[in-house]
Amino acid sequence: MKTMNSFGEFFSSKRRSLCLTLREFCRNNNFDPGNISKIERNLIPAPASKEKRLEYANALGIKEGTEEWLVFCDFAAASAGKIPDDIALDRELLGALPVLFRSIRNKDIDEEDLKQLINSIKKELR
Amino acid sequence: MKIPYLSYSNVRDEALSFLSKFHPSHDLPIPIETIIDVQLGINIFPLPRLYKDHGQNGYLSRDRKTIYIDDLQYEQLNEKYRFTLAHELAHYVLHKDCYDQVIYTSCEEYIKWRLSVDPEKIGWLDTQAQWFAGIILVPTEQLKKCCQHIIEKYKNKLPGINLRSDDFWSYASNEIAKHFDVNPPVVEIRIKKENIAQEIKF
Repeated sequence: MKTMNSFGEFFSSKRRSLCLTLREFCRNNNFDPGNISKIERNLIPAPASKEKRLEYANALGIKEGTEEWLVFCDFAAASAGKIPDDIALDRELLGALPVLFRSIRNKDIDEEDLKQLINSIKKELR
Repeated sequence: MKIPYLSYSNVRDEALSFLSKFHPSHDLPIPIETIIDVQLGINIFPLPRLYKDHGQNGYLSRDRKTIYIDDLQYEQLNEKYRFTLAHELAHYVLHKDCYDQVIYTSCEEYIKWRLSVDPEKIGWLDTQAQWFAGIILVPTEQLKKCCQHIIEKYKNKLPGINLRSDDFWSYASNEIAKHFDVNPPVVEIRIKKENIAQEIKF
């Protein structure tokens, strides 16, 4: 399976997995195709409001609270340059973030270590 | 810029091979938008006033990842929209090497690039794309079947009309076009290009 790196890529991949063209998807859900296309091409970030994100997630068949919802929210937060809400609300995790950032910036860290770090954080979140 | 000089026969082979791969059932109308967007993963972006301001129905981005299309067509002119998509798909399939040779990142730069190229070369690329679009949207075998059906329908109804004449097929194209979800002139051209009026059995 192809690794996705952005909210736009995740969004378009989900839409296409529903076998819906951009035009069909937007018509079915009353979205503006220009905006959705820009989101899919990462020209604009994910919407800031939770309501709008929920609307998009519903349209993509993603249910709130599922694993996929978490992935959707993580990509959305990253695209908007923000920390995901669930992490931002957890003071302990929030306090650990500087360590994470330092680790990521550490040029000596290899891909395996980074994966381990990400997995540890994911485990903490569950 | 180097461009390929493909014959109609070359383009037809490419188009039919493409269709066999991406829409083997050949069911009508050909789902061109789904093939481009969902199957190939090419973005389709409606661009406001593309035709009004720049005289372009659509264009393919230099990286071949996005088709920009006039938003009026996108919203309101379905048959025209489908043909423009098929035309840009032709550039995607047939002219990759040409796109590797050019640099543009905006519509304005695209127009400048077009104007900077020998019109005969651009004309040749567009002609190949028109052929390809026509064949993709109106595949030959399906067209022949439709024409045969039309002949059966009209052979006793229109005494005195030459059923091999351009006039008759020009008229019949209106009816046939509905099956393919294209504008009638696309069918009329396809019938002439495939010489169907002359070869059809009565």
